[in-house]
Amino acid sequence: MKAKSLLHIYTCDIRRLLIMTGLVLFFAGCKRELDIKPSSSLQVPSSVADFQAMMDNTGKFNVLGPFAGTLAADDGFVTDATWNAAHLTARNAYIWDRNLFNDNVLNDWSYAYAGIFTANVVLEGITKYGTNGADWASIKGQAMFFRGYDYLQLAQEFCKAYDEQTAGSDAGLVLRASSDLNIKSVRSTVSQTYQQIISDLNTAVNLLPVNVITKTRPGKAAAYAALSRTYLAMRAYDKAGLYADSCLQLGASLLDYNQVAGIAAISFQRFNNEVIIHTTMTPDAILTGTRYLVDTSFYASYAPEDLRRILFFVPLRGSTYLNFRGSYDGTTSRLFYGPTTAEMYLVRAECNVRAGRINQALDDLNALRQKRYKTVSYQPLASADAGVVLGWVLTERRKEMVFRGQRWSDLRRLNKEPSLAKTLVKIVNGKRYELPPGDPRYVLPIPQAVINDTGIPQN
Amino acid sequence: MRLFYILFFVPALWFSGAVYGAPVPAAVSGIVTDIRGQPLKDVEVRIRGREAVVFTGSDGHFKMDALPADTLEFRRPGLAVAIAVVGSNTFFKITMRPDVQQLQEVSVVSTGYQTLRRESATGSFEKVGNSLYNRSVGTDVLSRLDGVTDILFDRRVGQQNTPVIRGKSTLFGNAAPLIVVDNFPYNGDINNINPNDVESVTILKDAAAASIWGVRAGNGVIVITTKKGGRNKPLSVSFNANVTVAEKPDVFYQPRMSSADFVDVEKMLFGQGFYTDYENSFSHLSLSPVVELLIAQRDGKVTADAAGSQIAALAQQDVRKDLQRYWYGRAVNQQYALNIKGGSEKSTYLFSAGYDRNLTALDGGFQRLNLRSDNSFYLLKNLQLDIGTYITHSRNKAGRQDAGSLVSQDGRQLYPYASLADGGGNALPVNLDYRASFIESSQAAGFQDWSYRPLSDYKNIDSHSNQLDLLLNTAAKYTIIPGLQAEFRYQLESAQTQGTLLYGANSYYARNVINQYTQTNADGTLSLPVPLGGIMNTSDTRLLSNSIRAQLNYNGSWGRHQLSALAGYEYRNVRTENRAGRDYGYNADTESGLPVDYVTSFPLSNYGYFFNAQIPYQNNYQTDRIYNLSYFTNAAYTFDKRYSLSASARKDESNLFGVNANQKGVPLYSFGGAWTASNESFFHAGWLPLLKLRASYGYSGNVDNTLSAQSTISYGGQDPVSKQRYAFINNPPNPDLGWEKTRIVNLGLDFTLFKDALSGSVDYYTKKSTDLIGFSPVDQTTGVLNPATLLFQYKGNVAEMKGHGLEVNLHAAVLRGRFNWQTDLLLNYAESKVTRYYQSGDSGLPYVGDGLLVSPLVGKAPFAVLTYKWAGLDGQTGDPQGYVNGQISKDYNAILSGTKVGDLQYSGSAVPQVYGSLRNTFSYKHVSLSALISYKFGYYFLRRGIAYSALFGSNDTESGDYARRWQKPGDEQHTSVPSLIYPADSQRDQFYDESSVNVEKGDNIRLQDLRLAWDADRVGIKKMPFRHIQVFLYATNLGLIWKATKTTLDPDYPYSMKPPKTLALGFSGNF
Repeated sequence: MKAKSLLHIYTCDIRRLLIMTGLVLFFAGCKRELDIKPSSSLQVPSSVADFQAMMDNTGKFNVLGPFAGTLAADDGFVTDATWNAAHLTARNAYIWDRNLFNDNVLNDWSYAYAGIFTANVVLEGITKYGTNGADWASIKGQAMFFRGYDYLQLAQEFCKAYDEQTAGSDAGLVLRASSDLNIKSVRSTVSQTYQQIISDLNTAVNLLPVNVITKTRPGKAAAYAALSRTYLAMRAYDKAGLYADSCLQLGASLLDYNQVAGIAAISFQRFNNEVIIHTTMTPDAILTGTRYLVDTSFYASYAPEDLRRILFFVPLRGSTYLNFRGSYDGTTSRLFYGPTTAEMYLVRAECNVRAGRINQALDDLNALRQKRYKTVSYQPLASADAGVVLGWVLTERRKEMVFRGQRWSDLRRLNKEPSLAKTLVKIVNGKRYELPPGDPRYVLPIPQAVINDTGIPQN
Repeated sequence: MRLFYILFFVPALWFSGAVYGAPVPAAVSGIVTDIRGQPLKDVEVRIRGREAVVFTGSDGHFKMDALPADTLEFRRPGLAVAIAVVGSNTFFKITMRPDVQQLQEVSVVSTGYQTLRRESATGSFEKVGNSLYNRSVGTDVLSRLDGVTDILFDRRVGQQNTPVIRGKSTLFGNAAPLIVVDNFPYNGDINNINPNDVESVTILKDAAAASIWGVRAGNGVIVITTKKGGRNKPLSVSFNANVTVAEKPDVFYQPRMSSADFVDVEKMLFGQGFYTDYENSFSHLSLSPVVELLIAQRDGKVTADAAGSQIAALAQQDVRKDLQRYWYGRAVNQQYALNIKGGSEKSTYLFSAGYDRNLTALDGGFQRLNLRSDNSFYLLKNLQLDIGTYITHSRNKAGRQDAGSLVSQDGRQLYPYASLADGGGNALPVNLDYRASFIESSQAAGFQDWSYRPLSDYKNIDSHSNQLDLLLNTAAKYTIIPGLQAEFRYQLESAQTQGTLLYGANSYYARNVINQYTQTNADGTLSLPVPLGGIMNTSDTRLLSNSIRAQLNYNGSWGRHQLSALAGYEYRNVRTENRAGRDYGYNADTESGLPVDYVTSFPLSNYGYFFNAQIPYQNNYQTDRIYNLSYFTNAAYTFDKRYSLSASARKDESNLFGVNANQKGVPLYSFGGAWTASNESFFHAGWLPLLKLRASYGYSGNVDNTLSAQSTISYGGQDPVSKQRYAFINNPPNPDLGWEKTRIVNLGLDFTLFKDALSGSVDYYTKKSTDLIGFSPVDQTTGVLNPATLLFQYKGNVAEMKGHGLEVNLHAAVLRGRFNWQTDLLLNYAESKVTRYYQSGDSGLPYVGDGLLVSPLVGKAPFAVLTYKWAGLDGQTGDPQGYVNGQISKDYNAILSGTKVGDLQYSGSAVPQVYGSLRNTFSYKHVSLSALISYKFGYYFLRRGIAYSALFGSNDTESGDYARRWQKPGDEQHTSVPSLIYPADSQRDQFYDESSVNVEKGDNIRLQDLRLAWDADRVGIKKMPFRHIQVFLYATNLGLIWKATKTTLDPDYPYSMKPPKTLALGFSGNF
């Protein structure tokens, strides 16, 4: 009898124990579930693959480059009808009006800084999770490259043209070194801005691999090319030439335009052999398709045997004007503005002739021209006059790099040399607009919202 | 003897009437009193089976003639029917008792955790009983609460008819109240619930009522209690059927620009060369028939006379006539329901079935079948087991698209003089995407027919979804000792929705995609990367939810003390899996698709092969998981039926992503007290039988599981340019992320006056919401671009909001007796304003707007109508004028980007701050008529002004302004519509559209519905097979009685069509 009740108590205890254990396990299990991520679509980036995927987002780094400078420059023109139908920023950029970027928060300024923010998040992630492996180094190099490259584009629109005398005091860009949005935006100087660009790109040179699997990713050559562009904008021609040379050491192949068919709607393939890194401008309607035109006089500057005449241009239906079909994006909707090997030949040539190395300059110039003219009628250029050769190089640059987003920067630096300075003239709805060299309107205004939010000085 | 009469005579009367020859009626009289012995007046005294009716006088006496075989029936609202057989009696002393059934309906409220007796409750509850709930007709369960409760239904565009309880408690968080069905939150689609299964609805409004739901109660709680069987109740079968017919929607309601005016604008634009770009475009963008005629005339293809007369004919056409005639139809909804219930000593049962069949105005359809069973078993003396199952199957079929979505690929609206059908009603093609010449030349080259016939195209599209929702509800209740009960509940919900969107091979969509990707080879042959056939989109959403609750309840009283308490633990998980996919070249007969090349970028034929794109890849998978753990307790103590105290506490934990562990959980609590003054011994006001004061204080919360404290990324598939898998940043890191909290203080008063002639309640509350999740606009330079809104902002706990309000519910029995008149008045005042918000600069630009979206500005209502100050039109040019630095200006850029927050015009809230309804119910004999008048005051809307840039660029004719525009000096005296200018200035348009001149007052009074019912029971009508039957007519959306605005707009529908009038016919009964 007693034994039975003892047994009873014992089994009761076992049961209780089991129930208690079950409950504890259940509660503990539930507690652990609180750490499960709420959605499969959310991911805290921590692996090489995550950061590489962030850098492969071309919407942040490659395809939304600034376009207002190109509209302000003199590559092409628009008809009154197109101008009248265009949106405000496009219209005003064209006539150098100060009311820019206020009709859309997605603009030249903000797109570039959205890229810089992503690059900073990646850089901070690498600091937290990264190891010494080559794959991590490559991603860090990519982030550094794009941060420098974005600053370089921004500086061409929002800073005064680089001038050694005043760079230490001219207002530069907002340099954001961290993704922390609580850090207030302040303007640096032009000197600090270019130092930052050079520092980022130099870091990138050391980290980036030579070969890339897709041309939307920068390799070593892209970092050299960007450095070359940077020094060119600073008019530091010796260094610009050196980096163009470093870039060409890694690959100097040119497309032979004699081999390009020139019958399709678009003449060139995306990621072709001349492309060093693929970047295109924001596809603004005014710069696409049938709207952004070339007039007959500029067209006439291409010699009849110049293959660019037909590969770059196609007559607009029912008009004497011409459409551009030479974008290295392989489309008509987006203008390519990345560096190419051809551009590097031209930079090296310009820097050599400026340093008095006329023959080396002519070698590069002729190497390029040989690939651009019909083989049967090609004649190499020869001269011993540095001024003549510089003129040839700059004319060739203008013809080769039309619609390449570099004209605005070129105008800003060349206007510093009185012999090369140019006054731009545009006529819209019968009204004449002029932009003389060195005009303050060569510096575009920062979006008013940014000024309101941060209190930084307006240009 | 009396028993004999009841057993014998009553059935005998029922079957054969008076078969006993002709006994002589004799005078009978009596007195009717309540249980306290007080005489009752206006009691209806009727002889069963006859028409004769008398009413008691103020002394409770009555007198009438009756036969010995007659049965007297005594009726008065709120009291149980009393019966007396005449027999040999000549004087009757009748005591009428309160109707227990009816009393229970009003005096017991359910929180989902317990049922409370209202008399001891300290919180603010609102209850909708069965008869009030069934006053209106509808497919879904919530819309019936509109107008008869304090809930405001926000019907404005984008608000999806959200029920709002006591104003807004959140800015950008989930604003919907928690909906509880019986005991657990309903995770599936609330539209699955059959309203005929609803017994009553309780709305929990203050902290004492709702805090038990903790972090999900911030927006209030709606508890739906379903019908149940009753113990020891005989079998009862009830049914109902109704059909609702709606008028055709009124397409002419919104003012629009006339076709003639639009033609004038097109002529002007043509003269300006506006369409040259379109003509030269490689994209072959469509041009309207008028522009095509103008081109043909210019090119000498038609004579000026012919073009002129054709254009004049087009200017007379109005697409809305075709829409009215062919596009929209009458919506017809049918609803049938059957309900069987009963119970024995050992068990109760209920079985119900419901079937709904709706036909929409756009020729779509909805069908729903509900099957439900609910059983309780009283197995042992101490043990009760409940098992309920609820099965819903529904099928939704889309009809035509909304006419407003007839928009071209590049965003241009259909021209207003389009013809959708010929005289015979046959669908006509319209120039929406491409020019007719391009369509013809493509077809000649072997492309698919590229023409689009909007009127008939929907027949080529099969868009439907099937939903199956299974709900299993079990509970075990074990009484440990009297008063102490252990309760264990488990609910399983499994729902699956399968969507099919098949663009048939003949649909415009499929033909367009096939054509766009069609490649022309060098030899002129075509290759088709997208194969011929249909395009099939499928989606599959599965929801699986488990809820477990373990709870201890105590209910006890000793002496004058009464205590009820509960404590428990709850675990809930919800897993939602979404899958979506697409097949090209789909053949519906063989149910098979064909593979396509998703990688190659193909030049698109409609862009003259100048633009490349990949074939859209639309496979998508996503799984969301929500886990919640809660601990809760609640206790209420009442002393001597005079003083009540209550307290509740709850801690919720959730898998909020990446949040520091201590922030995953949040404790929430409430306190309440009540004093029933009328139960005090010193209280002797006979005219005031009930006077109760309530007060409560406490917190509830709101949680957003989509937020993350760490910077997160989402993968976006293959990047179109890099061809690599890419990812984007969702949010910057936010280590301080927490839950939203709302504190409510409530003071309430319940009363009954003059023998129940007037009863009601008054509640005053204040609300303070803190840690509200909000979007902070940030400097573009930070680069923090929100991928969802494409604005520079981040989402975090950045806001606070305060609100207060008053709720008055009055019920008056104006007339009682043969003619019965009852009045119910609801008055709500709810005001809330933002008290803190992260604001990065003082620019007014981000806050200007019509208040459709939250524009959180400190000191203003969350839905604020904020505009630029208006300085009239320029008398010389008709340009709109605003202010810059206090000076009248036409520098629109400076006005838009330079106006400071403080210089904006604040009109007020876009949501009514005073609203309510007046419901009058009249009944005479079997007929009753009820009318609901609702009113809304204290709000504003922004009239839609003309935007010339949108008119030119996208054919936007959705403003009636054009005809009233400024045309010559002097016009500014009688119009505020700016002059037409070319080129258009989008900033000028934006300034005018968002200026104070377009603000209108929303105040209005409307006749919301009318209900006419005929009630009869077996007593009234002989040979009726039903115990009770009701036939009713119910009409809704009857129109405005008064409105403040002088415009033709209904303030509740300033941007959309207004809901059509509906008429329902139904009958219900039981036997």
